Amino acid sequence: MLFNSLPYILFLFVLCGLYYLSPRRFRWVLLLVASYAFYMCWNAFYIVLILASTAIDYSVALLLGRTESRTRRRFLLGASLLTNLGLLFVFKYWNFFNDAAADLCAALTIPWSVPNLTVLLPVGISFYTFQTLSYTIDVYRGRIEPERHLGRFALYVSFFPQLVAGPIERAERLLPQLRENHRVEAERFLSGGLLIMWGLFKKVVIADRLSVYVDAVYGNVPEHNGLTYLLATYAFAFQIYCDFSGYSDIAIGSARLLGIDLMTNFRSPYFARDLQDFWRRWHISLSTWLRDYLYIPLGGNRLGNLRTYANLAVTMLLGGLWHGASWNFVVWGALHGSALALLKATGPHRERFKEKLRIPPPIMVGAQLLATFHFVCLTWIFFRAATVTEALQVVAGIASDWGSPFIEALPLAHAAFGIVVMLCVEVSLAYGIRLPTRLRPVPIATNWIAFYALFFAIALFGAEAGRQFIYFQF
Amino acid sequence: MVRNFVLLIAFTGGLVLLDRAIGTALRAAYDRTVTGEAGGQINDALRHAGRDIIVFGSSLARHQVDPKVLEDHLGLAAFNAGCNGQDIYYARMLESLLLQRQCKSRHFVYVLNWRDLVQDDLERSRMFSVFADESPTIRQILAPSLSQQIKLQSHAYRFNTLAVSTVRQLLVPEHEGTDGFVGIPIEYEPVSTDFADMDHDLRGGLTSSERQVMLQKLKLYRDFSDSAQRQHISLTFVVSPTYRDGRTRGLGERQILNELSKVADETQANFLVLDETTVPAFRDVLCFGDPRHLNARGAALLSRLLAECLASGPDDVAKKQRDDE
Repeated sequence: MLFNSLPYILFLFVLCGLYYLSPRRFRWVLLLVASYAFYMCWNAFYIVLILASTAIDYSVALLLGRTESRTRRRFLLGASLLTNLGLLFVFKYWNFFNDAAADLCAALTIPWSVPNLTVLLPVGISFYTFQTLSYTIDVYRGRIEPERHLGRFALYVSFFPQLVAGPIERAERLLPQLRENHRVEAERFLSGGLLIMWGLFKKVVIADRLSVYVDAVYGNVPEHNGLTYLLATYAFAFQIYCDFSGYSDIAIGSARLLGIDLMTNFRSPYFARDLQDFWRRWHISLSTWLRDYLYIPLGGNRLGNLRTYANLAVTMLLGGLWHGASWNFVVWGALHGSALALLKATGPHRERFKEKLRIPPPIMVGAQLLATFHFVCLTWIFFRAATVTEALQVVAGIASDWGSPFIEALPLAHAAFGIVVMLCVEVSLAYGIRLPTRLRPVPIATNWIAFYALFFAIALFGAEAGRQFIYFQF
Repeated sequence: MVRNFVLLIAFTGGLVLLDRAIGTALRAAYDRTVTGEAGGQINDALRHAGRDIIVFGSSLARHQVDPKVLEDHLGLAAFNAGCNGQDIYYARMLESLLLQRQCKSRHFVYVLNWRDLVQDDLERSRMFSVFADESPTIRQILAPSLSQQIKLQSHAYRFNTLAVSTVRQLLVPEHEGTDGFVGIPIEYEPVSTDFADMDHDLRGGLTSSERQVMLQKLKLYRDFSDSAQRQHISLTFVVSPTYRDGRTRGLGERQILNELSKVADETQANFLVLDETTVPAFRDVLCFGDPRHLNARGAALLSRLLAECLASGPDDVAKKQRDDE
């Protein structure tokens, strides 16, 4: 059941009705059943993995709460990490590392005959694994108390709006909300509904329209030239942003209808002034997860410059690998990691250089935005291309082989309309542009107008065939 | 509580009113377009519902059957309603609209594209949503599921993807001739890559999924034929030529054509093979614009043969073809 489908909207509508009509103490049951049903619509069997992850982390957290022994606590944490990451490794990374090992052994003429697994990648495994891991680590660190209610904990792991593609929620934020009794609030419904419509707009009017063009180019790289690669890369930059942030908006909006606030996952990332700023705005739930559970435990920036650069590189490399078992994602992560380390290393020099140049601030900000956006676009080539070789071919093409571009006029025209609308909204949000008070209509009318505008934009310009969200594959 | 309920009613009412207003405005604009593959061509075909002969099909019809040649040979008014990239979904829905509008045609001609029988892409024909209220056949085809039926309740949604092209066709109409025929003027210079995909075209026969699609589509062909017969309109299916450069038909293509000829037999439609196997002239590369489409010269020949067939009955033409060979 895709977020961008009518069955999901109907599912949400019916669930909201039942949720607010049912007795408060049983609401978690309804949400848990709905969450499992939502997941099982994709693959009923793989619910077993979620149940296993739930059972393990629930038990480990309870045991952690009962013991003070440092050794036992470490053992319990290790058991949770091993099981969760073990499942993730088997289902997501086994074949990748097995192939890499086979290639290495072949190069060294060492026999290697470990078979690959023929299993389907469970949807959302990377997301719920990280979510449960953060819970266990937080209990281990003493930041939160273990949840004693198995049902609520199971709901924390499987809460359907964010189960398959995040935001990766922290227990300290989500679990208390699952214990609360939520009342019907018109404002929540309106803002949640608006957010859902905004997410759908970004998904079906922009991302799905652009995907037609991007798929046509990246699906047949040798047939196109440099200018086409460049256009397709810009298109992909907006496609992936609108696809993923659209998903997040629908998730946050859906949860809001049920009285639950999920964390913001995107904050106008293409308005970032440098790469560090980009990662404060892009997939915030993952970047903060990596910061809190990987970068800081590795030493963060407390162990000297060299170690800081190494920690950044390792964190981003693993962040890249989190996205998928492919060398493309490794290169993507490595590029981001290296660039972050380089920016860190050259920070003071760049500041001095900027002062010497005395460029007016608006021009400097514009140049920084453009430079950051283009570096991110460069890395998207490795993210989108089927192989590293193809990505290099695209980069080489952009650098040298310009001719008449291949254009898909209709989908690009629809997407361009959507991008203009989105950028207007994001600029106004990012730079706090507000209508003068006397021009502002009453809030309810504003919301209604926005809702109607989004509804009809989706109806008229949205792509019809419901395409899957890109991040489902991670 | 009461206030919330009133607000909900007002909100829904506003949505419905706006939906109807947008739908009505777009329909008024849409009805004025007579060009463009995104819908204007349907209006153009409907305006020519009084023609004696109407030709259906994809680009194989649009570029290969010249109504003027038919008119010259038969003295009957003809119109080419073929549309690039379309298949039996388009033809069936257009036929239903034509028949509802007191179509006075005596002959329907359907130029077959055997590849369409193994490809299921209803999205390409989604522009018929505009006419959802006018034909049960259209609703049946476009909205087989409950969710599609709900979506089609929105009059604005019926113009999904059509709004931009409707405005464009109103402002800058494409020139498409007056009888629907668009000849391909260029001479064909074959290159080896033209045949690369042809060599893979169902050479090994049909897979089970392709067979499933074919069975669904054959039903539409049968319905198309039955509907025409019920209105006493004779129907002729035409197999047009392919430039094969010495290659033979693949097994899959033969199986599909065989099934289509059975449908024609069952529904008393004519099944006319006017391709390179029956007309030696179509083995000449000079007749082609590309391997799958005749150029204007080839189209004139095909149209003439088709006219002779319609004048004398398909058996006579087939006999004549054999005599020519």
